[in-house]
Amino acid sequence: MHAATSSVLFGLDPLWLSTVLMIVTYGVIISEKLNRSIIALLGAMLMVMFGLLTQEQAVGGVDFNTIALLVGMMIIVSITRKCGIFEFLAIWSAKLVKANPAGILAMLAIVTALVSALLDNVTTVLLVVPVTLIITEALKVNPYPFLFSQVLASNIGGTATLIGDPPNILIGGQVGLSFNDFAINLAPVIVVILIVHVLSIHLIWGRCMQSSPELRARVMAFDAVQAITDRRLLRLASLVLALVMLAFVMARTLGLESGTIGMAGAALLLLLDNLGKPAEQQSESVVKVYNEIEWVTILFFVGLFIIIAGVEHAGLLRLLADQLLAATGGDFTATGVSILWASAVLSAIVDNIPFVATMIPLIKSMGPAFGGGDALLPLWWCLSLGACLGGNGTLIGASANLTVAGIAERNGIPFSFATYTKIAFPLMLTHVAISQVYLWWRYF
Amino acid sequence: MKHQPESLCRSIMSEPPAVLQPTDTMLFALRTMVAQRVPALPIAERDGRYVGMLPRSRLIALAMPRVLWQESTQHPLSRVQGGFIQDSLADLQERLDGVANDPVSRHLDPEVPVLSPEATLMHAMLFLHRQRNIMPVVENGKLIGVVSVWDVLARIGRVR
Repeated sequence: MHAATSSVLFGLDPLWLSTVLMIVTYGVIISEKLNRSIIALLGAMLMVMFGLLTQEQAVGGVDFNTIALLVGMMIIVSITRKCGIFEFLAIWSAKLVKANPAGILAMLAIVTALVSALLDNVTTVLLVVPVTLIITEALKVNPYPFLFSQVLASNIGGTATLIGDPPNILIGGQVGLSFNDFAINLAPVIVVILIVHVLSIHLIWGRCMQSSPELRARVMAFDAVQAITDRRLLRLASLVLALVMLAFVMARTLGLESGTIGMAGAALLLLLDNLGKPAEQQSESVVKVYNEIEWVTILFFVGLFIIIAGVEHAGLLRLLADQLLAATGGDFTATGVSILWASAVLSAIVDNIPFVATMIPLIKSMGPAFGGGDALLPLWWCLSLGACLGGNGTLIGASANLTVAGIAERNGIPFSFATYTKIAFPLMLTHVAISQVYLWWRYF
Repeated sequence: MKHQPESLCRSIMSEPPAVLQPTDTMLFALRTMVAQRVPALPIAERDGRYVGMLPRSRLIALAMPRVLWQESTQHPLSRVQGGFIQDSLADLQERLDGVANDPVSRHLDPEVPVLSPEATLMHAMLFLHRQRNIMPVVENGKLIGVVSVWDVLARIGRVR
């Protein structure tokens, strides 16, 4: 910190300058006037150019464990989806309930939540929503309840695991929590919340849904097996996914970090998928896969990491942590409750990724006040549940929400902020309240 | 660079086999297209003002589940392969029946490039190469002809 002070632009106070830079950057991110990856990178580079961080410190601030996990999982998904397994799953589950619309509504929400626990939320809805639209068109039922329930289900399911939702990837990566830590501490309450969600959707929409036997026969005629386009790839991808999950569960024993596991899975699947193909075809398929990596997300994360390293370096986060502690009177339960509800409400209105990325070092620096790293565990669950579930509150709360709204609008289904929020916000509050009861009962 | 007049669209273009009016129905357009065996039809007002093009791919798309052709280039993951769909002839007919009485102006393809009569043969070739079969030639907002793959091949192949 002292080394940086002397080299800051015009001899300005580093604390003041870095705070202004962060507020302006976050302000522009929230305003959505500029692509978020552009503004995050710009803010990050200004941190370095203003002398608040050296390049080395900036690189040090980037959490490559998180980046590797994100990139690795993106590669795995991009290869896996080609075999058609996700379409198969959606059709199969719809036929399992005899193409009864209320049953499909519940089934697809559950499938979305399950897939979302293993994959990123946006990826999940991109895979499930198009098939849903084909099913609802065939059944001639209103697709809105289906899309609505899948948005919420994707954010709920994602909360259950380390790899399900970006806030968890961030928390897991930076705090050093394992896949099992998340599964053991969060999955139980997520199962309860998912059941509540499926029941609420049934009461609001499902119970009045109707479709004729002829239309249901049309969905029953869908041939799920035909959705599988590449059996060899299906076997390989299933094998790699199983290995990756096994490695996540046994990460502690194996001494592996999640970034390594994600990247190793990606490398293995790339190898298996390309083995025996001629060189020309290999480079073509590899380029295609790499192009599907979401660089906007990756570079957004890189930029955020550097911005946060800047404000952390200047001492802002320690200051904020002290303020938060003072506000809650140093009471552990009050701190947890504040984190849960503040995360939920803020995540409903603004992008939860910058919020969580800022909260992590902030909570870390409260460590000493509460007696060390392990004592902080419940606070991480408060942050995760608040930030992930809060994203359901409004249409702009999480990227999956906006992605679904975009697909819906393109398909002529109105998906407005107001209609969404009117039902989603109270549901979100219910889910957070359930989390509150769970956390209070289990940890405080 | 000055181009020779015979390599400009003005000299290559032909009369369109038929011109639709914006208020013509989709069913009428389909029948005309099938009868004439043309890949696309231009649409113009009665006074000749160019409105747009209706390609046959639009008719094919409208007979399918909408999500199959509403692809987002931003999200390649959302592409459905659709191999599981088992729609019958009646299902496809039903979808097309749903839009049969729509005016053609509602289903224009906004992406069809428009040629100026002064555009060069090479310019038209670049579009034809990218799977466009027929393109409108428009001067001062008025449709004055079309350049089709046949017009161009005839010129290059010296077909009389």
